[in-house]
Amino acid sequence: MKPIIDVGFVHLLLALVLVLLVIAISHRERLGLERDLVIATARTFLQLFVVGYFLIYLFAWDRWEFVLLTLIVMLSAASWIAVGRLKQPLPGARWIAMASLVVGSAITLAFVTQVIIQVEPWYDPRYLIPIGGMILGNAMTGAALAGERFQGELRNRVEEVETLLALGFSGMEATRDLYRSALRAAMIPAINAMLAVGIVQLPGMMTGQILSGTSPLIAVKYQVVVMLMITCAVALSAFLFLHLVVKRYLTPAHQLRRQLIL
Amino acid sequence: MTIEEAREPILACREVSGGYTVDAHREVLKAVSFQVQAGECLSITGPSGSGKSALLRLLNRFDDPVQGEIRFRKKPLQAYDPLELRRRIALVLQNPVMFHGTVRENLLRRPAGEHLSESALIQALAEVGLDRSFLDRNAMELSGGEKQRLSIARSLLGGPEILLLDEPTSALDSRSLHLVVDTITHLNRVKGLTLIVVTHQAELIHRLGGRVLFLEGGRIVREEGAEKAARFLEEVE
Repeated sequence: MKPIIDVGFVHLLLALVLVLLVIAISHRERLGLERDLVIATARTFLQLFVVGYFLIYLFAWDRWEFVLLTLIVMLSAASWIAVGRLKQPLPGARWIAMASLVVGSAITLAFVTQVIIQVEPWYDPRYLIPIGGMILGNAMTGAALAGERFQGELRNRVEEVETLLALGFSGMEATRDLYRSALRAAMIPAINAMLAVGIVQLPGMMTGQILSGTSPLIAVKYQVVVMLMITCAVALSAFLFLHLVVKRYLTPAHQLRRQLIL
Repeated sequence: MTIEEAREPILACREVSGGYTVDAHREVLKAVSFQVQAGECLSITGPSGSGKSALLRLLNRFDDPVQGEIRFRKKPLQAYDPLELRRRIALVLQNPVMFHGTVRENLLRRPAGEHLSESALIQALAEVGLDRSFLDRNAMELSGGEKQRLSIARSLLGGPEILLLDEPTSALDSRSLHLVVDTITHLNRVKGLTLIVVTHQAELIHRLGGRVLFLEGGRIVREEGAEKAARFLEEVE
């Protein structure tokens, strides 16, 4: 097998030409994005190199405690970001997000790494960290999408919900249509991704594996697992998150907490 | 039933404070007390923001008061299962919300465990002056007044003892207004249903008769008979 071509440091800096091109467009068309582009580029370099060096150490230490700790930090960040995407603040949303991401991601990650790939030792950071990252990242997006959609639906359809409550519907029954539409909104991107995968572009992970010399067939098998696990993690996390969010908007006496909506 | 029991109010508010304004961010009612006898028709009026709707929403437990107590048939509202309570004290909201589908589908949309016969639907429609041909009409295409009456019929299906109506005629033209008022007065006078109606319309108050409470800044500032109250409102307008 041919050895992997490393990108030399000078050549890496040469890649900045690509961004300079974008900055030129932004400048010419007066988009005002030059500053953002500079910051975003700098952060891309910084964040990825920090992660890269961290992973080198994590792989070298090879201890389950550190792997778990890393996953917990990733989880906290994911909950933070998911809640930040909600348009309206919701008391306790951070804990709700964390709980649903923990359950949704942990089940998926454990199943994929232990049952399907059968990672040895069970905590091998080379598998757990990147796979955990993909699961968490997608679960986070799914939960945020579901929460945001539910809030929007509730704001637009508050009279409909109150009409049902006034007829004696329970809070869960009265919000069921909104809940369904939010859960669908969260799941549809993952389903669309499965429909389109491989037709135009190869997914990032598969591309990476092929570039680093893995046989395309192995890469494909991994990618199939990845697609399925993402769909599952999104659905589980969004489902749990939404269930807890809906409860937040209702009291035990089936009252709508309008002060959280309007 | 003894005379004492007969005089026991069906609903009683004692020193009730709280309730939310329309934007849900400000508490509005201040020590409101009043009683309603079974079969009565009580109107509540007052300027916007005075707490009329906020008060109505406390009576079916859409909100709970911060202070004071509301009793329904001698027991505090909290003593009832809230879902059962909302069938017995039914609130008809200001804007009638129709769901996609026919009038029949709208009427059949009931809480889990409630099942209705076709004749129950026809009877509910008859109570509000709509005939059975409406059952197959598209609910979204009804006129404002028809929607309002359908919305009342929908509440009647739960078998309410008290009907709470929030500005039932505010968005209607004069002809529709008359039909809705006929419906409401029929329910009160012929069916003996207890009514609590929030409105700012002198004409509705006049037609309803009965007592009228004036709310201002979250307090009951006076109580009048309907005729005097309607005259007063007309002068203010």
